[in-house]
Amino acid sequence: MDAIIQYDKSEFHETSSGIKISKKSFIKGTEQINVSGRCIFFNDVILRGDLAKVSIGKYLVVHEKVTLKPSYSYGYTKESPTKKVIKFLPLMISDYVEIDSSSIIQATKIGTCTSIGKNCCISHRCIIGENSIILDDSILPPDTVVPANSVYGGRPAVYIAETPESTAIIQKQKLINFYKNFVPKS
Amino acid sequence: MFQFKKIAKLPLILILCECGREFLQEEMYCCLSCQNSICRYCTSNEIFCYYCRSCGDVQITSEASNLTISCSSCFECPICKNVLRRQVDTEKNYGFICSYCFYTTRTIGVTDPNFQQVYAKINNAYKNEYEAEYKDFQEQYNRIKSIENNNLIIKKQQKNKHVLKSLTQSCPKSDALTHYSNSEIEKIAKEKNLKVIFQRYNLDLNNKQVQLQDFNPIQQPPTQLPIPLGLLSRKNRKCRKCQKLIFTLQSEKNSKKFAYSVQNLHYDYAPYFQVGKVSYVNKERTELSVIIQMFNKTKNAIEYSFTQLDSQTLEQYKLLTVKNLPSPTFTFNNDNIENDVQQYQKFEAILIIKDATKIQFAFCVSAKIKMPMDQQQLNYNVNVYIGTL
Repeated sequence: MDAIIQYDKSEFHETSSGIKISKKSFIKGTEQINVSGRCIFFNDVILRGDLAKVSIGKYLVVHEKVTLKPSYSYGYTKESPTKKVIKFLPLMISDYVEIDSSSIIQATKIGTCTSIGKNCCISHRCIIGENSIILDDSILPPDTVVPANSVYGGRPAVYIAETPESTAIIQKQKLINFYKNFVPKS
Repeated sequence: MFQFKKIAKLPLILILCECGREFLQEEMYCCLSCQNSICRYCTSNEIFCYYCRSCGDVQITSEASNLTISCSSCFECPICKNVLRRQVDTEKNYGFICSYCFYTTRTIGVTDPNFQQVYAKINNAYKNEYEAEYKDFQEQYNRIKSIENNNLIIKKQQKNKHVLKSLTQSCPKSDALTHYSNSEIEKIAKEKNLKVIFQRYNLDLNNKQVQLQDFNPIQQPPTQLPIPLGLLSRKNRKCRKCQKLIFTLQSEKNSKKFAYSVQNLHYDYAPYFQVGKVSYVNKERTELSVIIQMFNKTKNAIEYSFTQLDSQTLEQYKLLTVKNLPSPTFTFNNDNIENDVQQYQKFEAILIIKDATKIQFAFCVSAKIKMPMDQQQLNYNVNVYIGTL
């Protein structure tokens, strides 16, 4: 049976759609952030919505000391056709994603039912496919494409193995139970 | 393949396959014709298609057999094995660059204003570099083989005479030669010939000292060309006993997503177990009570029953004896599918602990699945591992 985690109501904001954000997290640019519902953000989470649009699905769990930041690329614009200028790209996180503590994420897209380990560094313009696992202490170099149903790990991260067909079921159950067992102290 | 057993937290509920391996309930497959739940090692794989992990291009096996198993448009860094991306110079020449170690094809001179000609340059460079070495290797190999064959033919006849002489000297009776057949004489001759050859060409492989003096050394430094990216494969699964399909992929052209047309998971045909409370019954702490919850997550009604394992298997795997397994059959009617509320039942198993360090027990389950047109039956062993004392 999964363990029940109790939290102080005074330390967390809770919205009508079931989003639980700790008061010690740093969230900027809430106008450009779109969250579906039933997400948990723990302490010291940094979410930068002021740089570009951020769209998040349901049942996302973000542990302590995680930074979520949109990625960037260099390009020309009408205003500056000769000089290269930084453009920020939108960040998209799908449903049933778990991000473990102390990791830095600058990807463009994270697919459904993925789990990202501790102390990971996902560089800019990365694309992570569905049902994939990124192991602890791994660094994904920029512009990597993680295919669906794969396990990546190492420094730099390299394809290691294939995930079984039932990862989606396991990940959904795990996160739904985690959300149900994350209960305020009565 | 990745195993979730390594990440899963205690208490664990595992299913024992016939091969002796244990897996989580979600990782097991189900063969309805054999009426068994199977692990991944009891299934055979069949390659359905190849695909590139960076661009997602799909190659069906009939096409891939004609080509080499590598992507035509993606390359790998020879230093750090990261996928290369395109680069444009200030002079508008295209090339490849690695975003991790900053390796570029500009150092080799493989750049062109037309991007498609960059591929042609890389292919030509591979041919020019390795063709000469391959020819040299082939010539040396053929030369050595011809020498060996000639020597063997010439000296076989001479050495057979020497072998016969040595045998007659060791055996005083001349009739002892009848015990040795021609094949045995040839074996002895071969061993002696091989020793001579190894000495001559310094190919003493037992000591792992191979001196390649006959091959030309590489005079120029390596050019470090980008490596074509290898393809990964998607597979179908079949039961090894009855050769029936368990997982099959759908063939969709011009699409990078994969979908399964047939998928038989154990999870879809059997009740799902979960461990509830664990507590001691006695003050002496010789009996444990474990509450096990069962959920019906399938779309069909299930009739199931429990049986104890044999005493031999309990002793072999050092499992505790279960006292309170329920004996009659139960039915699980999954009427509340629309409301998304799952039925569950539970029973309390009491364990007897004597001189044991691990809390681990097992039982058999036989489930009858009432599908709309048919009735199927499954038999499998459940292994519950709670922890250590």
